[in-house]
Amino acid sequence: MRVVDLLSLKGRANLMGILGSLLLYYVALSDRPWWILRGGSTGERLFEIAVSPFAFSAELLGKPIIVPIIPYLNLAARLSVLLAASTTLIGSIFAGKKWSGPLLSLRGLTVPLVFLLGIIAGT
Amino acid sequence: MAKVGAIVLALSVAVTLAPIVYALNQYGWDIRPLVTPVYSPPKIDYTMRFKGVEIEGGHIHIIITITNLGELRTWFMGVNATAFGLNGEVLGRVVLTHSLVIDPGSLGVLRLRLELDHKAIGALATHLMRSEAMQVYVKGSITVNVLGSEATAPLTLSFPLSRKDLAGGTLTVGILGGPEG
Repeated sequence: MRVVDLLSLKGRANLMGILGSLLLYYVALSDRPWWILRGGSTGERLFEIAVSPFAFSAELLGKPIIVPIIPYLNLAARLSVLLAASTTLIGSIFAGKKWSGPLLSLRGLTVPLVFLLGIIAGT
Repeated sequence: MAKVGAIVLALSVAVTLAPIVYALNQYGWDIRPLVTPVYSPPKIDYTMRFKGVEIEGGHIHIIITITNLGELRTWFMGVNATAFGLNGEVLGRVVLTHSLVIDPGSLGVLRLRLELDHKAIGALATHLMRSEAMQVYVKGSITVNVLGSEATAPLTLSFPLSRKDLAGGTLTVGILGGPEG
């Protein structure tokens, strides 16, 4: 009971939710790739693909490959994770309020999980 | 509570769909250009220019200047070619003495070694005794490496081989040795 009290600041806020939402903000605002595939030999790069749900870059023989829809899909993924992080943060700060319940969910994990499963299935 | 849940759901759908709808609108609601990859491959191009002939180590060396007109650093790895005389007789094998890396827009010097056949040495000597020079044709392939990927390109070259070129040098078999070739 003491741990629960501590983590919820005696029912006023949800500390784990706040930390989780801050982590989601960090993940969603980062442009670093989650998965990189490089090809080539003798130390030179023939191709490189660097992807995350929020960024994509592909290069072949030093020239970029552009798929026009991908930046928009990245933006959609980023916005949905930012929204999930924001609702989780608000719901966690106002954990004592009645309306905070629907704001807390695991929606923010959907994009990373789908992405990771896609990468595993693709490789 | 249900109202808050509905608002959150509506916002989630909106932020997910809005960028996709915006993209479709930007591309005139035509999905094909939106999903078609756009790629312009880098240019790989070079020019070769015959510079001269040298005798070294008992072999004829064909000196060629090569200019990398492409957009990528190119490693000239090897040559697999045959040298022919005017009448199509085989003079010997042509190989690259040292591999060479040339940056885009830069110039390098390739040294090709003509390894004469024993039979060809006699024919070459006879020809050069009768005339001042003879035309040598080189046909084969050159192997290049670009960003770790190997490719083979055709190699065609012709150059004049004169008595003067061979003067002062000693070929492996020695028939053409001496200042007069």
